[in-house]
Amino acid sequence: MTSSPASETVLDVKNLNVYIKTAVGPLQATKDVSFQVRRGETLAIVGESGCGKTITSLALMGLLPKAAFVQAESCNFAGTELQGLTRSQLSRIRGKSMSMIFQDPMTSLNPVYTIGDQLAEVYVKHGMGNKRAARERAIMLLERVGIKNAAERLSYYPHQLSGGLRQRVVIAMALMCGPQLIIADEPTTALDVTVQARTLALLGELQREFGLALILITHDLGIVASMADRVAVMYAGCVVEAATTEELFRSPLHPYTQGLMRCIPGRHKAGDSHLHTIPGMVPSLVEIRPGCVFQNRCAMAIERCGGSDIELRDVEEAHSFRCIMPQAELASSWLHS
Amino acid sequence: MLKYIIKRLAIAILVIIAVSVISFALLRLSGNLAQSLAGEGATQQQIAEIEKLYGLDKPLVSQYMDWVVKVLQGDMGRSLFTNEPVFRMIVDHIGVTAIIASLALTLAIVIAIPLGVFAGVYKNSWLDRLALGTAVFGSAIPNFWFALVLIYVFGVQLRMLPISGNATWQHYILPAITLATGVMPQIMRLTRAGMLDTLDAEYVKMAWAKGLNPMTVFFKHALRNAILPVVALSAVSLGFLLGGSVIVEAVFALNGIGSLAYHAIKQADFPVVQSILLFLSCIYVVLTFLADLINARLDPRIRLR
Repeated sequence: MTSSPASETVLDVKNLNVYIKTAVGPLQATKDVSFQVRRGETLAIVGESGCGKTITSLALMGLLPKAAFVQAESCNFAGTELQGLTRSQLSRIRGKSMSMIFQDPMTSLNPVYTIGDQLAEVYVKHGMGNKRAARERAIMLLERVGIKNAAERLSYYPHQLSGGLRQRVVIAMALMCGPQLIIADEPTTALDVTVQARTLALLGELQREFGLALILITHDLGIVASMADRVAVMYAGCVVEAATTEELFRSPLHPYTQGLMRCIPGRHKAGDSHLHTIPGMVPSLVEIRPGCVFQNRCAMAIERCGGSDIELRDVEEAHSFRCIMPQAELASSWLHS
Repeated sequence: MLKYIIKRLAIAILVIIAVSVISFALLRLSGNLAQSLAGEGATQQQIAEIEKLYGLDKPLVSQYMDWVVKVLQGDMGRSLFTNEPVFRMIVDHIGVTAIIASLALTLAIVIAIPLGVFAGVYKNSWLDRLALGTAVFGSAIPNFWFALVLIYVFGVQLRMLPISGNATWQHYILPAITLATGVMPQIMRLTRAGMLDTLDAEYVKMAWAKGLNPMTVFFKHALRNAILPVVALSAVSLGFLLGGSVIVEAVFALNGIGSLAYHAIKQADFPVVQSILLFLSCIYVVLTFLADLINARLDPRIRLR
């Protein structure tokens, strides 16, 4: 591939809203989610369980359950507007130029087909070449993701491989058609801790090597710090803060982001063995009140937080947050915590 | 794989031995055999002669062994009434039954599996409700009644199909449809239930994420995982069709194994009843064994364990 400018935007999402139909009317699962990912860049989407990270990724892939529907201002992928595509138009994109790595490699490979068959399938489906070419590419990629005896392993079934190896197979599968964007949904959460680090390192290497745009969905700020160029922090379906990784770790502004940062063990000085938590739970979709989504857990909440919805405010060129407090006050609250 | 086959085969053989003991015991324990062979008013001496002739005076174990050896040589004794060799009788009657049973099962599978797949895919849609309605209808109506309806509509009114006997291939159509109606619902429901499970599986989500066509996702990725219990059920259904089609054979005047069994039971023709019992049990065992083999072929986790 040629070395195109690093600023080439692969995915540009503007105001993505996902609704879920229920008996009492549609519930809003994500609210005005916006972000961009550029070629060769890793965007981490961070948040607790139930904050809308996975829903967002499924919406991008067009894999939402039937009860859900999407409204967005725009959802531009490599020059194509994804909204309004028919199912067959979308299926020409996914798996080819946009692929996904699921959380649990123990269940995301089909137990009754060989990994060779599952790798080749996607390549042949997208008209990249015949079965023999697919086999060669599969061997090449399996070797690249660090699986020894790749040719022989093609005839293995998923249950004959360990979890770490299976996730490598899934990663190889995501790369089969040379995608521009990979969405990795908690790709290492289901793996042993020792395997996690190696799998992440591999993902990072491959991303640089193939010039991929990577969306990394995680709840682990350690992974964010080591992998991501930029971060979007999600809470209850909203992006509450977005910044470059460096900026976010240096001066988190939103009280929720600050809370997450305080929860990292060992962030405080030696001797402080106290584990921090954010009191309360992510509100379920039916409990969300008008105004700030974080108000009921926020230590700094005032009456005005429950007013109208809060706009995303830009502070730096690439740093924005969704809070009504003055920036200086938020910054000082972080410095003095 | 070989280990698995040997294990399944050993189990099959054990079941056949158990069945043979039961079927042997049934005959010996159903009253005094020599007495009934000799008929009413036979003298004590005549009965003793018959006991000697048939080996009934020997210990039970050696009687059983003699019987097993004979059966293995294809000698299942003779009918008490026609004096025909029982083996011959079974061979003569099984053909018709085997044809309608296989036709019925094939028909049931060809309809039930796609219907079950789409009922699962479009859960709660009109198609799903139609499939479930058909299933309830199929399992609720008695097959002799349905057979009569078919005869009335296609035989009497439309005059499209023959309704009695087995002279041409067309004679097999209505009996096969009747029998298929009975087994189709279970296969459909089991397929649907399996699909509901596998459609939610992560590997199916992955298949969608790979951009595969819906048909590939449904039939290649979801169905293959949903079908294992369906294979087992189909094998049992075929066994049931081979042995349990007495009424349908009677309605369509087909002289199959069902009517042979029915007449033998009515006349208390013990050697025939015993042999049919043994024969059908063995067929069940063989079918179950085949289902195990097919499942091992379909699921590597069974085959490579």
